[in-house]
Amino acid sequence: MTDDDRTVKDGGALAGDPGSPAGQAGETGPAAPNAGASAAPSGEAGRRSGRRDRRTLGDRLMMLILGLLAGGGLLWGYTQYLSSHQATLLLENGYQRAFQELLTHVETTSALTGKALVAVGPRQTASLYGDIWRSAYAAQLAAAQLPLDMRVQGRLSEFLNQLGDYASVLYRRAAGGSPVTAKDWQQMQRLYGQARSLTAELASLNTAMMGGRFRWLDLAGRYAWGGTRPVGMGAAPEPGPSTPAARMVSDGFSRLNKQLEGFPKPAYDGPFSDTVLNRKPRGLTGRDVSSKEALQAAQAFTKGVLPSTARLTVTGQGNGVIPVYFVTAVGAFSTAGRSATAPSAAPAAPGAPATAPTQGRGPAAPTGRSPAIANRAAPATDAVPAPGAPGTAPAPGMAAPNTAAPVTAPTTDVASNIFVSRRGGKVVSMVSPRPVAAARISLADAENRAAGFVRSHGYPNMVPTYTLRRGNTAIVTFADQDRGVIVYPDQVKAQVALDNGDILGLDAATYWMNHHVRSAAALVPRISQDEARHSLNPQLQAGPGKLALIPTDDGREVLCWEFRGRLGGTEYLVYINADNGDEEKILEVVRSRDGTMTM
Amino acid sequence: MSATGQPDRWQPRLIGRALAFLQSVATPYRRIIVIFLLASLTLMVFFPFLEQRYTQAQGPRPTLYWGMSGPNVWLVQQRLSWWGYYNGPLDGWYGPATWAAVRRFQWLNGLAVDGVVGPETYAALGLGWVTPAAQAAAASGYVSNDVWLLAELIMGEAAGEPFIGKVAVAAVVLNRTRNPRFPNTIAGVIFEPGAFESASNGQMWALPPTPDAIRAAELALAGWDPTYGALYFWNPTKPVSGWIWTRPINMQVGAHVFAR
Repeated sequence: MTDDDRTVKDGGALAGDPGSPAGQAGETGPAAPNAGASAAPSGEAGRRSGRRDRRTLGDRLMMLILGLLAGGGLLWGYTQYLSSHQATLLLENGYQRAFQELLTHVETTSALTGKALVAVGPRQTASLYGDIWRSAYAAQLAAAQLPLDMRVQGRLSEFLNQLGDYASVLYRRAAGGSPVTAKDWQQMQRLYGQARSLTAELASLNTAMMGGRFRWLDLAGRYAWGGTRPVGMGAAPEPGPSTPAARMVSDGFSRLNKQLEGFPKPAYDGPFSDTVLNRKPRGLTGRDVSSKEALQAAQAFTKGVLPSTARLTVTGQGNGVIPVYFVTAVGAFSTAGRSATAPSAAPAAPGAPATAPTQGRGPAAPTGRSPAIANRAAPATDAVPAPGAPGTAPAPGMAAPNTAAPVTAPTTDVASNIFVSRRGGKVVSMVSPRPVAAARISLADAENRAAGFVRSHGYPNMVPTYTLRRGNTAIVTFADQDRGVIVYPDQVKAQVALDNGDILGLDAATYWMNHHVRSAAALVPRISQDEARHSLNPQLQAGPGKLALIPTDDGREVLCWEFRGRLGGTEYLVYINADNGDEEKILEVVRSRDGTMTM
Repeated sequence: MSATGQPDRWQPRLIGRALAFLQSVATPYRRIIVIFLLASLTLMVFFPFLEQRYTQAQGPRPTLYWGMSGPNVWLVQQRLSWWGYYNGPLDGWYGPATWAAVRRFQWLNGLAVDGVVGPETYAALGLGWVTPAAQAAAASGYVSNDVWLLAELIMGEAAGEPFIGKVAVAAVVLNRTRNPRFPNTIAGVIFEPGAFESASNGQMWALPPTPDAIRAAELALAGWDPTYGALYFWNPTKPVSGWIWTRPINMQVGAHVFAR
């Protein structure tokens, strides 16, 4: 808009008599009553730039709106400040609480460890080690909530975890009546000294914090933007603590870490001990195979499992607990299920609400509907008969919808992975992510298929132990059977697609970690089944027992009599040590329509 | 307005005034103020939506019809294309092809054929009306909060990774629960301060888990560990602290390096 072509319409537009100085507009012009405060500065600006003041009503309206916006912005900013202040306080209080609890529980743990060194009687010993276990665990929970450098966090957690774990081992031993050995006592004495110096260090940090200038958020502030942190790991990010007080506390924790790193770790057998963590695969023996041999092993293994068109290549190596070759198989699957079983196979969960068992898991099509509809739900069923599934049966009643709405078979290239161990060249695991269509075979069928698969692929004596439905797949767990004894440590799992019974995955890592030739003595019970039955709770309605080798937390294997029984409507598996009649383990059997599992 | 001289006949009055005002604030100084104010207005209006993005995962799914777009449309398209009802692109736009596919799906599954994805159609597609995992947990009776949490973490850390990379990320969490240097529970590991970027910045809640993420979480929980004992993973193309490279590397899966 230029000055000249301006049309004068409203009364307000009369502002600024062309001849008069703009400065007078506020006093004399007709616009004055309407202009309000906002007009005056604009008028001055106008005079400075040598232009006439011509504020219209609309302009004033705009100024008003902008003023309201500015006011609203300020108000909004203030509420934002308030809520962020509130959140900051909550967070800070949480950190404070975690640190204070850490200090308290570490103090308690340290004192209890001292007392445990004094105690001799089994009752007092057991009770004290039980308390150490509990308070060390509480300290570890508190430590895990602090915004510390991952290295400090890790070592602190490790110290507390192993102390508690060790105490739990001694607690169980003492509860069983065996005294604490001299070696354990000496190790505990060393741990006591370490716990005391940890307490002292934390207490001095606490004193430093009480100066008042320290806020945990200043230590944690470097996490605030998130973006600078590397994915999935917790090394110290580059920008450090933001205030001198925070730097001091951070240095204190670094000192603490240095001290902790100097502590030798206790040698014992528990789930968190280094001896158990650093186990090597027992089952893999022989020489290291070349990548070519690994590829051949993978090809032989996946014959009939993956589409015959799949291209297998060795794509890498892994140096984990089990060193492996990484074989990738890229091949096209027909995504709609090929009906290898009769289409009338019962849905896995008859009587279940139409879609409940599969909500949000795999691609759930209408299970529980009539088979004919279930078949029509996948119109592409046999448009491309996939290789490896000979029994492709055209489902009745498909022609009409197919001709009405022709849909080409949706095939996608799927990259499956096969892991072949470097030592011995065994297929340790397999994962195939092909989409699975609506379930058409029952869990029992899936179990049979999985059993057939593992038995023909190097695990001839496997017996299924439990089967779980996961989405439109079933995961079947097997245990080895050796001379009539179920060997639970030698465990293999197979994943079966419920649309057509294909094998999608295999996990034999546990098997190869544990498998070895057991001596005959390890599989012969010292007490009979009837003797073992005397160890059962008389309230338990137990069925016949069978022999099983079960793994313990500390990596040993124990021969047990396994009894399946009921108590108050709940089913349990009770394991009685076949050497001495002790109760070794009790598992609850949970049956749902997704299958059976134990907890 | 200035060009024709008589604009007000067809231009709404207020818009005309606004344009006039913007033109009259000729000096850069004033323009900056105006732009600033408009920007703050935009922020005020959109801030609640930004926040909602993170909470959306918990709410009921919106009813979908022709013309809509978004992650839910994408999920529906994915399901339909898996089962052969839909051949179009997975573009998250509810266009004619999606509409036709939805109708075909409804017709063949005994649903009301209206081309609208409501609770019934969502359920038949296997997409829960509430969140899929929550519904699955409710339906199946055992606790699957672990699956849910792991799947959310997979969405935050490895949404773009191949399936095996998703399983690997979940396996790292499970390996940590068994290691003394980390908390002993899945939630403890995931929410350890600073442990996972997507938990720190809220990215893990941004999208509801896809079926793939849930399947990967379930596989990892069942025992599959493609990393064979890894405790850390990171993207080697992004800057990470030097310390992490001192860890013994197990392998690379997709874009991530896995180490003990």
